[in-house]
This record gives sequence, C-alpha cells and structure tokens, in this order.
Amino acid sequence: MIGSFLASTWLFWLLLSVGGLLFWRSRSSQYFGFVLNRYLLALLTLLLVSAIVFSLMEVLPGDCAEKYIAYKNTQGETITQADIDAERVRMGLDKPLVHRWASWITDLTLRGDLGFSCAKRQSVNVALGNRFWMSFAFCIGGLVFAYLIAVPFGIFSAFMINKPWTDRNPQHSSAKRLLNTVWLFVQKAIDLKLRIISYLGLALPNFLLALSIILIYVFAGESTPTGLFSDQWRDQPWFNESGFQYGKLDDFIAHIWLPIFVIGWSATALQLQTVRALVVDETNKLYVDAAKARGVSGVALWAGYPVRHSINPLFNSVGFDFQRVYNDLPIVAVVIGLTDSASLLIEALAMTNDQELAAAILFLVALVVISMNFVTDIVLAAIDPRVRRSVLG
Amino acid sequence: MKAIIATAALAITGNALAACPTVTGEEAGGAYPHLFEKVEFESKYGCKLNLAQNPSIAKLNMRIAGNADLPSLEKRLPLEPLVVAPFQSIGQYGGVLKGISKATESGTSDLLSVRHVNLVRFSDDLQTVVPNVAKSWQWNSDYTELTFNLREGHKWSDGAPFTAQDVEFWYNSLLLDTNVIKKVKDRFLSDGKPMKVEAVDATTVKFTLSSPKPGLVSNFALDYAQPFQPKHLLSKFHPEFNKDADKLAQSLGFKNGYEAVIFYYGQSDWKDVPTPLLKDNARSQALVKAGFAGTAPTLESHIVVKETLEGRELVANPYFFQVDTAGNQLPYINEISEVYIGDENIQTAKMIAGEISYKSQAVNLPATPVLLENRATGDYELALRPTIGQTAFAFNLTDKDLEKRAVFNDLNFRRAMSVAVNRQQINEIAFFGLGKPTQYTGFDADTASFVTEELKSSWIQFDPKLAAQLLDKAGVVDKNNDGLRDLPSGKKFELNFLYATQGAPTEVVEIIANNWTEVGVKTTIKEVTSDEYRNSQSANDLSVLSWTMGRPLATLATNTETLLPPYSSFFDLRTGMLWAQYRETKGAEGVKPPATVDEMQKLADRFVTLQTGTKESNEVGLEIAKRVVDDLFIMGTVKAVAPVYYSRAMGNFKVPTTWSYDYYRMYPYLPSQWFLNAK
Repeated sequence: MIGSFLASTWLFWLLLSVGGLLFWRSRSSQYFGFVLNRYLLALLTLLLVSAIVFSLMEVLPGDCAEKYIAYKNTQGETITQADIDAERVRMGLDKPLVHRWASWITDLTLRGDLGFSCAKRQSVNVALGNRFWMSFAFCIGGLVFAYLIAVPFGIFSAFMINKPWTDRNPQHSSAKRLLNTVWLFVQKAIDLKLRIISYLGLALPNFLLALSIILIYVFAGESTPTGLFSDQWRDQPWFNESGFQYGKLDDFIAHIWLPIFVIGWSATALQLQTVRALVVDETNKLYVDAAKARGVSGVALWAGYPVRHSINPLFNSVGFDFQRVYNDLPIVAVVIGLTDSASLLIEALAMTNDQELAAAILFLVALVVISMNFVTDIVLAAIDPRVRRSVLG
Repeated sequence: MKAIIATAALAITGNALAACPTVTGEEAGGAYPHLFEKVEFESKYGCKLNLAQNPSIAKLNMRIAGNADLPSLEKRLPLEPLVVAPFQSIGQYGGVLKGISKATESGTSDLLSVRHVNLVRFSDDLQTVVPNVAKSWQWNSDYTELTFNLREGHKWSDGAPFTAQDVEFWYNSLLLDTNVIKKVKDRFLSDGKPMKVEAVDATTVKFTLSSPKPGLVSNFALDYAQPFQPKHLLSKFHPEFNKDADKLAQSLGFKNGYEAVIFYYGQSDWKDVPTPLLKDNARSQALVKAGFAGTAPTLESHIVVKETLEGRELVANPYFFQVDTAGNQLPYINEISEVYIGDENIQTAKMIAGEISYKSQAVNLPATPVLLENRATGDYELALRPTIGQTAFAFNLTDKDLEKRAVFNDLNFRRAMSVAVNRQQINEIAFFGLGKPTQYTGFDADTASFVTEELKSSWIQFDPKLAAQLLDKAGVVDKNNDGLRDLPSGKKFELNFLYATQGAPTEVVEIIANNWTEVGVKTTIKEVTSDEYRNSQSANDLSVLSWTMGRPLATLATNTETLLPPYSSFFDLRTGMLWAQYRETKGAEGVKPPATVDEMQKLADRFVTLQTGTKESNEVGLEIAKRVVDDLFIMGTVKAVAPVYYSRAMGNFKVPTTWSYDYYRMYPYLPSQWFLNAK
C-alpha cells in the first residue's frame, strides 16, 4: 500500500527532500541560502514555462482532434464534422484547459509522468523514450564540436587581431624579417580563413547545408547518409557471437557526423566570434598591462590573464547555447530523417497540435536549460570569488 | 443439367493429373475480371491446382512474434482460396518492396493499400465490385439487408480461424462499445442509427439497415477500415466475453481489459495507428511470453513485424487467402520495408537514386521533370495519371457584406468570373500543359461516365468580352471611371483572395486574380496557412474560396455532402455557411437558401438509394451534374495529372487509372500479385 503510494508520488518526495535539505543547510550558510533561492526559482520558472506552453497551444487554431483529422485528411479520406467530434471525445479535449493543465502538472510533479499523447495514442514517456536523450546527445555533441574548435581558434583569432601582415621591425635582420613575415602571413591567412568559414556558418541556413551535403551524396551515386544507420546495420545487434560489431560502429559514425556537423557549424561560428570578442575585451584591460609590466609574457600571459577571465561568461552561457542549438535541431532532423524529440516536436506543433507531447518536449528543453543555469550559477558562486561577492552581498 | 455435371465430372477425372494452364494477362478471369474461385477455375480448365508455397515462408513466419511453427500449406489456405490471374505472368517469390511514408500516421496510405484487404474490392476498371475476403454477397430486394458469404477455413495470420463472428465482434463489441470507440463514424451508421450486424453461421454475416443504402457494398470496397477484428484474441480481454478479462489484463500490467483491447486495436480502423511494437515494445514482448500475439493478427497480405519511429518492416502473411493460377500462394513479395522521410527533396533524391520500389502519394507534379530525366540512372519508370478532383473556386454566397452577397448570388456574375479565367494559361504554367481544363460538375468526371463533354466544358472558355457583358448585366460597372468596376451602389469593389497552397497552387491563384483584374474586378491575393484558411472559411470571413474539389462516383453514391450547403467539410471548400445554418436550425437562424438547394436535396436523397451504374442512377446523376453546372456555385479550373513512380524491377505492376486516394490507392490493382524481378 505504502509502496505503491510512494511509487506513484516518488518525484514529489524527491523534490521536497532536496528543498528540505537545502533549507536546513541554509540556516547556517549564506551560500546554501543562495542555492535554495535558486532552486525555488528554478521550480517556479518551470511551472511558469509549462503554463505558458499549455496556453500557447490553446491559442493556436484548432485542437488535437481537428489537427489529427486534418493530418489524416491529407491521405485523402472524406471527413465529416461528426468524425472530428468523435475524436475530440476520445482525446478528452472536451474538458477545460485548467483541468487539463492541472492534471498534467500534478502527474508530472508526483511521478515524472509527462502525460498522454492524444495523437500518438500512447504515453508521452514511451513516445519520447530515448528520443529526448538522443536529441540531448546531438546537442551536446554539436556543442562539444563547437567548443573544441571555437575556444582555441577564438583565442588564436583574438591573439592575431593587432598583428601586422609583415614584419617591418628595422632592428631585425632582413632574413629574420622575411621569416617572420612568412610566419605572420600564414597565421593571418588561417585567421582570415577561419573567420570567413565562421561567417558562412552563420549565414547558411542549417537545412540548406544538410540538403546540399545529401545531394552531393546522391550525385556521387552513394547511398544517402540519412537516419542513424544504413539498412544493412539497422537491425544488427551491437554484440553478437563474434563480439562487438565494429561495422555497426563505423556505420553509426558514418551517419552521426552529419547532424553534429550541421548543427555544430553555426554554433561554432557564433562561439568563435564570442570568444574572440571576450578575449579582445579582456586583453585591453589594465591588469593585463600590469602583468606585462611585471615581466609576464607569451603563453603564460595569455593563458593566465585575459583567457582565464573570458572563460567565465562562456561557461555561464552553456545552458543558453544548448537551447540555441536545440532550436536549430528540428529542421535539421526533418531533413536528415532523424526521429529524435526535435522532429516529434515539429510533428506535435505543426501537424497534430498534440498539446501534452509538445508541452513535454518544451518542458524538458526548459528543464535542461534551467538546470544547466542552476548548476553553472552555483558552481561559479562556489569557485569564483567575484561572483560570490556579487550574489551573496 | 445432369448432362453438364456429368461432362464436367468427366472432364475433371479425365484430366485429373493434367497441370492447369498458365492463365495470365489483362483479359484473364472468371465471373469477375482477374479472379476465379478455386472450383470455378478447376472446372473451367478441367485441371487440379497444385498448391505451392514461398520457399522462405517458414523463415518469415519466425519473425512474426507469437506465431507457432507453420502447418502445411493446405491447412493454412481456406478450402476455397481466391485464385488471382496475374496481370502479366506468374511471379517469382522473394524480395523486399521498399517505400517511403512521411511518418507513422502520415503519407502512409500508399503502402497501406499494398497490403490492404476488405470484404470486397473495386476491380481495376474502378466500376465493378469484386469479391475479396468475402466470396459473394446478396442484397434483399429493398437494399436493407446485406449478406456476405465468407470463405470456409480462412485463417488469421496467427493460424486461428477467421469467421463471421470476427465481423460481428468488430461492429458490436468494438465500434458500438463506448469504452473502445466513443462515437461511431457516420458511414458505419444507417440513418444515424447503428446497423444490426449478426453472424448467421461461421461463414455468413448479415448487415441489417434502417433505410436502403445500396452504396454500402462499394463503401466496403473503398474503405480503409477493415470490418473484422480477431475476436479470438481481443475477446479474452473484453469484459463482455470474459468475466476475468480485467484480472487477466492486470496480470499482464494493464489497468483493465479495455486497455489491453485498445493496446492491440488502437481505437481506430486505420492500419497505420501504432501497433504494440511501437507503442510499448517491452510490453508486447511480455505478451508474447505469456502466450499472446505480439501484435494483432491480420488478414492482409503482409503483417508488421517491426515498428519504430523510423519506419516499419512487414513480412508476407503465411496464411494469406489468395493463390495465383498456378497454385502459388500469394503474395510473391517477401517483405515490405517502409521508411519515413519528411522532406520532399530528400524523398525525390531517394527516388532518383532508385532506392524505392513504388510511390505515388506525395509525389507532386513539380518533381516530374527531374524524375523523368533520371529514369535510366535510377532504373525506374514514371507514369502521369489524372488526379481525382481539381482546384476549384467559389464566391461566398452568404458573404457578411450584404451588397457583395447580392452580387455573388447573381448567376451572371459567377458566369462572368468563370469565363474571365484563362484556363489554358493555367494548364501551361501550373501543369506543364498536361492537364485538362474542366468545369466542376460535382462528380469526378473521369469516373462518372454519364457526365457529358458539354457539361465538362460549360463556361470554361476564355472570353473576356463575354465576361464584360455579363458583368455589365450584373450591375458591376465602372462608376467613377478609374478603370475598375464598382459595386452597383458605386462603392469600391475589391476581392481579397486568401488561399492555402495545400488547396490551390500559387500559380493558379495568381493567374485567376490577374484575369479578374483584367476584366475590371480588382483582386488581391494573400497566401495563408491551411489552418488559418480553414478557420476563416468556416467562420464565414472569406469572400473568395478555393480548394481541391470533385469526388468519384462511388463516394458520391453514399455521401452527398458536397452537393448541399456548405458543400464540404471543414477541410475542403465551403460556401453558403449561413444557408447551412438555416437548414440545420430549421429556419431559426441563418439565411434562407434559394429553391435550387431544395431541388438538389431531393436529387441527392434519391441518388443514394440507387444502385450505381443502373440507368436510373445515371439519369439522376446526370441531373445532379447539370444542376451543379447551372447553379455554378463552385467553378472548376484544370484537371491535373500527377506522377506514379515504379521501379523497373516490379513485375505485374499495372499503372493505376487515376492518381488518387479515393479507391484506396493501389488496392484495385492487386498488389498481392506484384513481384520483384531478380537483377
């Protein structure tokens, strides 16, 4: 009895005990007071997000029944008003909005139940299954790809900003001047090229990029890298009698690079510009001059002073970067034929008006963004004395 | 009589060992085109069919979760299998039919129709209803009792017997049970009341109606809904049949019995609703372990064995009830593989690369040039077939603006606007000159032979001079000499043409608006989403309406919705919303429609009680078409064509007569006898 009660309300107790623990600690620590504050704010924001998502879907013309039937109507079937009404009753859309939202949010907070998808006729948890994690992995993959390229090259680009194309120092011998000039030219050229590519990344719509890459495959007579696996490997298990299937891994990698590359490119471009601007800003500050005056130079100067300080805001914006990358994902997913949560979101929003499914996906995205912000906030407050002072007063 | 039997008996014994001749080709067939009953075939050719099966059938059967090992072919086929004469030749077993849909429940009817079965079927002439699951059927004299005779020994894909009980169960215990279906679809009611469906014996099922509806048979031939469900499986979870249904369901992790029924059945007769394999694969596997089917058994030619959000995989049904004229069990094709591609460009790319076997749904005319150009590379063929329905337009006969309403109700105005449109130009620009300018007659003219050429070409000539004369007659003249016509009162007259590309191509709308402006009626266009269009239309906010219209004869024979206000459902073209309101509220609200609407009501009421194809039905049909053209409430443009794509490897493939959903895509063209030529 108690077991089943706990099983159906576990999430509520979890949330409550985390809150309780934080409250208890906050009585003796200002820092935990800050954490508790952030925690409550995060929960409140999530509640607000779910309410907004729910009411926005209500504003859209038509409801799930009508949209679902319209979706069926594209098959050519003759539809009558009676059919729409019958679907509406089946989907429980005859109940008022507040009722639907309240029961959704209650199930969610009690046991993490994301509700029932009216168009897919299955529980949202099952419909989403691993798909949310798949999208999550794409976004993280795209972000890692972006950071790996953007951070070092952003710094490099900032480093190059005030460098001349040629060495005109009269104190250098002419041989040295030539050598330096060649070296400078190579560096400047790399910087310029990277920046052009990054501007291209910002300018090219993602779906066009994906489409172009696929078309190149078609005209080369290769099978198109759509989906996650080719037909040959889709149904093969990862492990069989002869051990791990490296072929499947190869096949997976041959497909997975495309979405990660496509969504990673524009993120890289944006990130590169951000890092460059941040580092340049910091470089012009007095403490850098002071360090220079103390005799710090070269890599030690760069890594220890401007770069170190420009990483903070970058770290702080991971949550927002995730959200921005996720925004790019749906259209890419549709083009590449991925069936992750982003393409489900498009379907739920644009085709079936599936309130609970769309709300669940948007809610999960908000959850990731808010949790990332929550984590970065409390981590920064813990490790960065400047932040700590500003938030704890 | 005796002599005939004796001769037949002699013939049979005389040729007892003789193999049957190879009967194939367009003209082959017994009482019905391309079909024989086994007895009919054997006695006609004086031979005995040697039954043979697909060599890989046992392997395919192993992929059907919950199926036991196969008994011999004789035990799997009905005593009276349906014998199909292939369109070209006896096929070869094997291969995978590859296709594309948009998503689990979108753009799927193309492939659904390949495996579909129903009690009856429309033959490829789109006029003759022929047997399929049912061996034969009879009406009583006033078309209120329909009896179907099923095949003895017919089996579900899990080997359990299929009987009349399964039809009765589908209707009485699923459709009429509000725990499963909250509200029955109109077409399964008779005069708004449930029909009486009873299993007379194992192979006889009777439908009793409250009013005559001869169209019911063709309705089964067209309908995606299959009027039978596996009672042997579902009744175990149905509280009406099993007192312990809830207990049994709960022991398997369901809330109650109904949840288990819905888990298998999906609360819809569409065959693309998620199967248990997609809904909850773990639970489906648990059901198999407990001795139940992993997914509901079927009578179709192929059964789903794998379903994910990326696609479906199907294998041949080892218990399928058809054989070819050489005695080989159908289908020939081992597997169907369906992948979901949402983007039309990627779809086209895959077609060019020859990655699929067949597709027509969602292949649109603009893709034609590139598809034609690459036929050799992809090793496929492309056929262009007429669509059913065409882009039509109308004026709001109950417009909110009273003066506009009066103008729109003037027949001279509507005729003027029809002849002002340059349909030849529309054909050249929007349809590559492949379409045919056609007036809207209510019927899809290609499937209703009684619609005359004269009707189809009434008021479609491009004649701006005539248009000007008619507009003058309607009182729409230029009052202030600004070169544009004004309303009779002198008020400025401007038409805002809102449209959605789903219902009317932009090129068509642009040309129409341009033509109208040229005769002096200023027209501006604006593209909106289909949602916005539909909502504004039903809210009576639009003055000009447009959508694809025109139903095939077989549909109109049972559903005359498009002949009476508001002339269509929420999803298509609607005009005269207030007329509809008047009729619904019996005159309490709305606007009284003109007398012609009542006349049309009488014709429509009579038309649905007549058997299509009879002289009487054709006469009433022609009168309806005449009235539609005389009223000209809705005007036609150009009847277009659309591409059908098929791989050159496809054997026995017959290019469909029309490109449309209305006859359930490929169902009339016997996909069970398609085969794939080995390369």
